[in-house]
This record gives sequence, structure tokens and C-alpha cells, in this order.
Amino acid sequence: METTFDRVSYSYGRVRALTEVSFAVPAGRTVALLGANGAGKSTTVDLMLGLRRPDSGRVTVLGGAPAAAVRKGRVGVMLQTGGLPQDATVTDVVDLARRLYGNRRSRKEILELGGLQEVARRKVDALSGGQAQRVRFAVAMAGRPDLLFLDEPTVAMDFRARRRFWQSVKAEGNTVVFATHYLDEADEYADRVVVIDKGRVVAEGTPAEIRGDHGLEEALFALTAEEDQ
Amino acid sequence: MTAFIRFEVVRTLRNVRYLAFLIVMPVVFYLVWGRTGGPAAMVAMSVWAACGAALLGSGNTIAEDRFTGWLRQLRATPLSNPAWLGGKIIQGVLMVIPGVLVVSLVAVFVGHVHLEPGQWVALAVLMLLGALPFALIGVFGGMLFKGKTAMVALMLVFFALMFLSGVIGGQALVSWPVLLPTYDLMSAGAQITRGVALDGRYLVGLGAWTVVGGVAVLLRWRRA
Repeated sequence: METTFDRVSYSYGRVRALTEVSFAVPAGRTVALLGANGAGKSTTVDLMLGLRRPDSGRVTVLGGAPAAAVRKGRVGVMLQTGGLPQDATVTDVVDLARRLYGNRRSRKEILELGGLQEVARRKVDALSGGQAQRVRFAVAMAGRPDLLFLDEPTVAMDFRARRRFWQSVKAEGNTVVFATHYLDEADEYADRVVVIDKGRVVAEGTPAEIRGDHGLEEALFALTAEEDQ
Repeated sequence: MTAFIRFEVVRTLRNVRYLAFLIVMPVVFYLVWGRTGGPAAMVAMSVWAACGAALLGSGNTIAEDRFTGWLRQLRATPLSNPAWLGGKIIQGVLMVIPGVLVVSLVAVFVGHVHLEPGQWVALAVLMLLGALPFALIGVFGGMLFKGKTAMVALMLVFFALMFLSGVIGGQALVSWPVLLPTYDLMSAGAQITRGVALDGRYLVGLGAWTVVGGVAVLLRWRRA
């Protein structure tokens, strides 16, 4: 079942964040939402999670309403702005996530998936940025989701952690939507790329189609420059 | 919702500053000033523990979670919004137990307070149910203010209630103490320990604050 955006617009008061955005995420594929800060990626993720409702247009997630998919535990989420609860240990957070998603994975399995065994008893306040990101990933994976939303997932990770992270994601075989401004990440791990600029989809295709002969970075400069004119 | 409540209770109990303020302080106050005060001193310090735990237990974490983004992450899980709200209110009420229990044990073993089993049960029920308005005010404060601001606001409310109603100092500072939920809770508790019938005014006062707190929470929740 597809996840789709059909002519979706959204405004924060008078500020238009998205304008008639349309794209589809086929089941089992990995789609990157690529764009600069403020392009509209995070708003797109919020709409996909049912955290916001579009002003116009329609969003479907796994063939139904976004909020319904989230409530059924079919969606795993790693939010850029999703903090961790102070005073809780890593194990506390993992156990909560397991129970909210109906114990679909064991604690051990989740800790292994996130590479968190060594910090399992540590309070989340005492984790490094990369470790905290891994906890967020573990929470996202706790319910064996059909669809995984990742908003800037590797921001605080070093290059080794980034590689391990993507290996874990790919090994699960979920449908994945990730927002990023790491061009290499989109190029390497996405089946399709949706380029968003100033709230509009300015390009969509495979990484090869987007980059053409000049590379992804040059292609992005060209696409956003057209918008500036 | 049970998993969420359990998580929130455990997490709050891991906060050392919280435990010091809501368990150690009332016990120390009881030992220093109240050990010869009999059951009345025990009830006053139980009200400190109950009011503080219910106000700060939920409210503070709600404000922090809004600030850090954890609340946003929770909204993207199968936990429904009503379950979250109900869980936070219940957590606020449950947080009353450790402080009241420890104060009571100290009163029994150090202050030689003696009550009949029925009186202990009645006092426990009163403290739990009587904590509901404070839990609601705490949740409201947590939804109204973000981060440390909520902590400061709730502490001000807490100390205002403690002093105005005479939980600290032994004498109310206002001529209308029956309008204060802490005074109502303390007075009803004292009546239980004396073995006299409960004055309906105190129960009405606690009930009215519960309604006010509940309406405030619902209005704020619908706006969020």
C-alpha cells in the first residue's frame, strides 16, 4: 500500500510552508526528501504522521489516514525535534516503546538493533548526541513498523555510526521516508529522491535521474536557483 | 496506558532532587518541629508531600517534555492523546504515595503516632483522592508553561498554598482558608485522625478545586 501526497498545501498562519506538493512512496522503497533548511521537509513529515492536517489536498499513509496508521503502530518515527525523556534510562525508554507497540520485539533485540547494550542502564540525559540518535532509532524500530519516517536521522553521528545506521535500516527492509540535507546519503541509500524547495516539489526521480551528468550537488544548485529567479 | 503510567512513575522516582524535596524535606520537618505534634503534624507533612508530589510530579515533566520534544515523539506512537492525558493525571496522584507513606512510617516509629486501621485506610484514601485537584493544577501548569518556567510557577503555587493555608507555620495566613485545597485536605485529615465525622465543607472545597482544575486542563488541552 502506497503512501501518497496529493496536491497538499499547508500554511503556518500567513506563511505558506507547502504548495500543492504531490509525490508517492511505493511499498518497500526508500524515498529521500531533500532540501535546504526551511524547505518544507519537516512539515511534510508532520503531515505524514497526522501531527498536522493539510489546508488542502490529501495525505494517505499505507493506504489510509496518517493518524490511523500511527495509532495502529504501523509507523516508526525518528523525529529531528523528538527529544528524549529526562531522568529515564535507555532501558526505561526501550521498555516503554516495546509496550506501546505491543511487545513486537524483545528488549534485547531492540538494544542490539540500536547498538545500545553498553549504555542500557545509563540515563538518556548522559548520552552523547550519536547515542541519543541511536535511542531514537531503537524507539522507531520497536514495533516492527511497515513504514519508517526518519527526519534528519544521522545528524549527530560520525561516519562509522552513519554507515552502521543505514546498514541496520536497510537490513529491516521497511518502506522508508527520510528527510535529509546530506546529498551523499540521499544518493547512496534512496531509491527515489524528492527535492523540495520553498515548499514546492521541484524535482522527483531516482538519484541518477536527479543528478544527471553533473552530480547531485550541482543539480540541486540548479534546481533551487531556478526557483530563486 | 498502564505501561505509560509505570514509565512516568519510575522516571520521576529516578529524579533525586524531586525525592529530596518531596520525601526527605517533609520527613526532616516532621522530625525537627513535628515529632511532638502528634497526628496533626503528621497530617500537615503528609499534605506537603501529597500536594508537592501531585503538583510537580506530572506538571514538571509535561513542561520538560514539551520543551525537549519528547511529547512530540510520543504523539507519533500508538499512545492516544486521551491516554496520555489520563496517564499524566493518574501519575500525579500515584506520586503522592511514597512521600505520604514515609512520613506516616516516621510518625509511627519516631513520633509514636497511633491510629486505628480504619483511620489509616481513610487517611490514605483521603490523601490519594485529595491529591487529584493538585494533580490537575500541575498538569494545567505543565501545559501552560514550557521548560523550567513551569517548575518555577508550580513551586510558587506550592509555597503559596503551604503558607496561606498554614501547612507551614501551623496557622492560616488568610481569613478564608477553607477556600484553599491544602487547608481542606489538612483539616479533613486531622478530623480523621481525631476520629470525628468529616466536615462536608472540606470535601466540597476539594471537589470544587477538582472541577476547576479539570475544566482548566480540558480547555487547555483542546487548545493545544
